[in-house]
Amino acid sequence: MLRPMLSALLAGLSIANLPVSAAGNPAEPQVYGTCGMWPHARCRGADLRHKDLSALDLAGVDFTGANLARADLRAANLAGAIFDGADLSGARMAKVNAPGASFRNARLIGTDLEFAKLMRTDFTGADLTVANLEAARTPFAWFVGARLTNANLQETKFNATNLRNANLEGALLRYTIFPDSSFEGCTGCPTDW
Amino acid sequence: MAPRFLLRLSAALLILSGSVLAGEVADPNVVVDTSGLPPIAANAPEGNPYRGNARAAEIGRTAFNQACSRCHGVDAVNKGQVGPDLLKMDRSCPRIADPVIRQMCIVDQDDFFLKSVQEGKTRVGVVHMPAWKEVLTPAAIWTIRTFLESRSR
Repeated sequence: MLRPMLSALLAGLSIANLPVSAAGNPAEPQVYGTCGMWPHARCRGADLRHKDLSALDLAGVDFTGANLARADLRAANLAGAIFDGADLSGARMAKVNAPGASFRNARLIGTDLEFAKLMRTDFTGADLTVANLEAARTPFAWFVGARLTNANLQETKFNATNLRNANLEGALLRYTIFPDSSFEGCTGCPTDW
Repeated sequence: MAPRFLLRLSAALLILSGSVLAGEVADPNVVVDTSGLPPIAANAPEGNPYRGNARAAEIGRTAFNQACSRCHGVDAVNKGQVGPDLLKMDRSCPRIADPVIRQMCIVDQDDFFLKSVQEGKTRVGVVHMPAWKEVLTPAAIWTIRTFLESRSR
């Protein structure tokens, strides 16, 4: 008795979580304007505020200049995606996989990047004020000239990370590690690391 | 001590060979003759104009083996080469049932392919793939795309 009820409940939940296309067909990718939710899509300047893009495969998508404020990108695959100049303020990006992604001059104010995988990710000139990078991994990433003021960097692993001219003033640096990272011109970096 | 030194030397050589193979400049000696193919009109619709063209796939194969095989494998058979397996690309579009949305997806993949080959891939100052726009014409790049589609699993 309990088992059929439980499976019906689970089935209902899984259908509810699937993206639905404009035609209303479950499992079809959602399309916002001319921006499709598939890898390598062209989404320059797209308005994706508050959209649920969680757990989608968006590898290589070009989001240059797009507005993703408060969007839900949790656990999305963003490998090689481009967010240059995009607005990701308040976006939920916990557990994203974003190796080789580019966030140059992007706005990530208050963005949640907890447990994000950010290998070779480029945050040059990005604004990560009060962002949450707790337990994120950033091997070989670039934060050149990035603003990380008052960010949560607890347990962030900045291995071989380029932090030249970055600003970490007021950031929470608890159990944060910086092996082989570069700090030239960085404000608030633990230069005695 | 000696085995550790040899191990480090091998690792260094492997990294060096990888960076040499990846190459920071496109090989200017690559020649692709697309004169036997219909010319691409300026107002042609977006996407690969040679899709399904057997002659283009044949030319694309020659072009691929000259320009791309060093990093992506001869005939696009990737046996541990440094570049990604190009036969595993574009798996998302065929699954889309709606023909209009599927076509949008295919055109996006085409555009990504063209731009990737033309502009190359540079991430955090590291050149992973050189830009080919000075060596390969758009027609030549589309033949490579057609060849890869003919081989996709």
